[in-house]
Amino acid sequence: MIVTTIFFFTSILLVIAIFQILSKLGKKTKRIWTPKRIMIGITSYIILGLTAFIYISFFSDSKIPVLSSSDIKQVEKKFDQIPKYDQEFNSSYLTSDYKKKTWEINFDGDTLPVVINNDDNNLSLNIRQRYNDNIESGKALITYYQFPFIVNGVDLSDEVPLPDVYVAQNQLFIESFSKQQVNYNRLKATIGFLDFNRGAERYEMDNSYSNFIVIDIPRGTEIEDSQGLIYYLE
Amino acid sequence: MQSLTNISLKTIVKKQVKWEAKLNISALSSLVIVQIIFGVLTSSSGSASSGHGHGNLDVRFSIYSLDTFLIVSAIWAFIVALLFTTKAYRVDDLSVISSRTSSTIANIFVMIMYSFIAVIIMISTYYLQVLGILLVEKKSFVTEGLFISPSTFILCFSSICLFGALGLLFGTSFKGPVVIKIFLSTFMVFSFIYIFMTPNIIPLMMLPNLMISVLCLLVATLCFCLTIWIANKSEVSRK
Amino acid sequence: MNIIQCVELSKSFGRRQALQRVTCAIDAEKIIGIIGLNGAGKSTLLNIFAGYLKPTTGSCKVFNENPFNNIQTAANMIFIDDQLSFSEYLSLEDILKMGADFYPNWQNELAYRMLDYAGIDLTAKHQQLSKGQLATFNLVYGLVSRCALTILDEPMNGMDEVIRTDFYRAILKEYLAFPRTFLITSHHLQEMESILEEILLIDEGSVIAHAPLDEFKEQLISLSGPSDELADLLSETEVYAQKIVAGMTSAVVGASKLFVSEEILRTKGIKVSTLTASEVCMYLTNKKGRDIDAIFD
Repeated sequence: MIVTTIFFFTSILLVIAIFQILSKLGKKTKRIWTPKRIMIGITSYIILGLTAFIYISFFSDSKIPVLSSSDIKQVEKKFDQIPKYDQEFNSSYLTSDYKKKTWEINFDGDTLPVVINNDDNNLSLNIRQRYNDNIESGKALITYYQFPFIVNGVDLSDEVPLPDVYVAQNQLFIESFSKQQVNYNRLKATIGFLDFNRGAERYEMDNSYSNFIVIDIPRGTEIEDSQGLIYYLE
Repeated sequence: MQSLTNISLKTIVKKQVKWEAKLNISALSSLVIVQIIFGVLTSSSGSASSGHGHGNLDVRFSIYSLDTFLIVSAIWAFIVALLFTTKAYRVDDLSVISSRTSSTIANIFVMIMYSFIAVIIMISTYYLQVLGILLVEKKSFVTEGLFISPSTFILCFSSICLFGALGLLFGTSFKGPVVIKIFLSTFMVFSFIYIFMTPNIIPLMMLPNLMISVLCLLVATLCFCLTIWIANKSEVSRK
Repeated sequence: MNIIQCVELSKSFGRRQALQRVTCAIDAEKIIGIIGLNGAGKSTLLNIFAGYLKPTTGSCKVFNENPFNNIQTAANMIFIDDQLSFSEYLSLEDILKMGADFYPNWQNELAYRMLDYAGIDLTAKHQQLSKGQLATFNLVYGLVSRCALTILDEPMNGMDEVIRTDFYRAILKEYLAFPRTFLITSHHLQEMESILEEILLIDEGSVIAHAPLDEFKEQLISLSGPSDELADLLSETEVYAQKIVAGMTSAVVGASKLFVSEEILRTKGIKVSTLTASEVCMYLTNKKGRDIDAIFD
């Protein structure tokens, strides 16, 4: 609210200043700017605006789809289940549709020490371990799953950078993605501060379960997780 | 004795509106210029922006909405309405058949007409700004509605009208009797502070667009009526 | 028929009394001169007639209606003074067009001819005119609108001598062509005398004389003769001015209270002479004992 007020008053000052300058200029240009010419000027400005509108609506297909609230609710309904499955150690929600990348690594011995470099917040990486009978010993499969990541109605799951996964000195390193910034221009021909204050207008998803890293290891192999960040899955 | 001319208030108001709308057209051209300036100023950032940080992903949205243009138009309407009530404009009215009532009613009609055109100018500016941005940066656009819905249009119109009405009332009350002058100006200053300094306005914002428009138009009508009432009572001072 | 009727009309601005209990009636279709010193209240009275000001007390009726903020009286009246102004966007030609749009009796042809005569360029803007041209244009605007009540407040201010006499004739001609009521104020009563029918003299906010021009002039007479012969006579009447030079006295006295026939005066060696209207005005409004010389003594 304070920001709005400040913005409002600076606008007032600016508009007044512009008016002052215009009235000074206007006195000199009164001969040129007869009412008729002003009328023509304003009409052509409006026509120009209309042309711009037509051009935009024909030639600018936005490649980024915007999900409506109902769309988001649907998506959410589907993904509410994730935490529940997760708590029950049920991995059935991790389908290949959401598989983003798989790393295959080799290691020696029966234990795999895992080091997770997760800059600041732990929430952004959900790491799970799962026993897989199809994997030979000395190998592990690390899979990154990305679920829809929705901000302001835009699905940004493709923008989320992948983590770094590598083996060094017989240790598995999972490094969280480097910081990345994405900018969008959002065109919305409404009164923004009304929408903003009405708040609930856009349904926001809880994005904390939007990505998972699953480490598949053969039976008989153990994961050494000194940080206590890896949970078990079936 | 020659017969006296009988002219109804309606005919005079019509004629006054016709001439005033034509002669004060520079008000609209000033709006165009003000809008263009604000359009350029906000072209890089939009009228608002929002940031979201999730993990290591930072998302920034520059929102291009009608806000800036609406606020600028509203301020413009207030100033133009104030100018309508200044000496220069009022004295011009005395050169033709007029009474304070007819001039005020004419001013109100001109203000309403101008508010309507102002909305169209405002929308034109919005599309021109959007076009400009589209041409400069081709990608990363989220289009979430380019059509201005009728309810938004009406809301813009009614709020510009409201500010015009406030301007007329404010300007006219300074020409009226002293009591009105003091009472109205204090009342208006306090209500402005009340609205902008506290979150009193938020429950209003929760109403649907059309309800807000109706409220704005009601208050505007009240202001117009008060303006006519004060104008009826005030004398002409040309000093 | 009266077109203006004022009863006990008073107007005050704060503590200052501009008009005090003015009662007067103005007949239709006459040319009336409103005369008074600066600040006497002429303009206030005219502004009330025009409906711009509201009387503090008393009533004023124009065309039997209260003129204040009244569109009916406004439609039949035009008020011309040096503050008449038009939008900066209008050329003189446009102004005439606008006038034609508003005033039903508008004479556009006549306006063109008169402005052509005065040598005023129609493409000019109102603001660009010189003071004299401005007055001329405003007067033309007032004349061609042919309103039943035409109020001209100092219409000739700033005009050239030649144009001035021409336009007094123009007023008269217009009056004959389309009879209406003219209220004219001017500092130059002398040059206006030829067209006036009545004079309304205002002093210090009240009407002190309202009469046809001839009657008005006869209110005062000037007597001159030997001082000793006049002394008796002067003690009986109201003396407005008196001057004694070498045993001869000349004095201006009220005619109404002088009950002596001219025969007797002549035998006493007293000469009687009449005054002009502007002299009468001067003496009537002159305050007793007012003398510019006294300031410098």
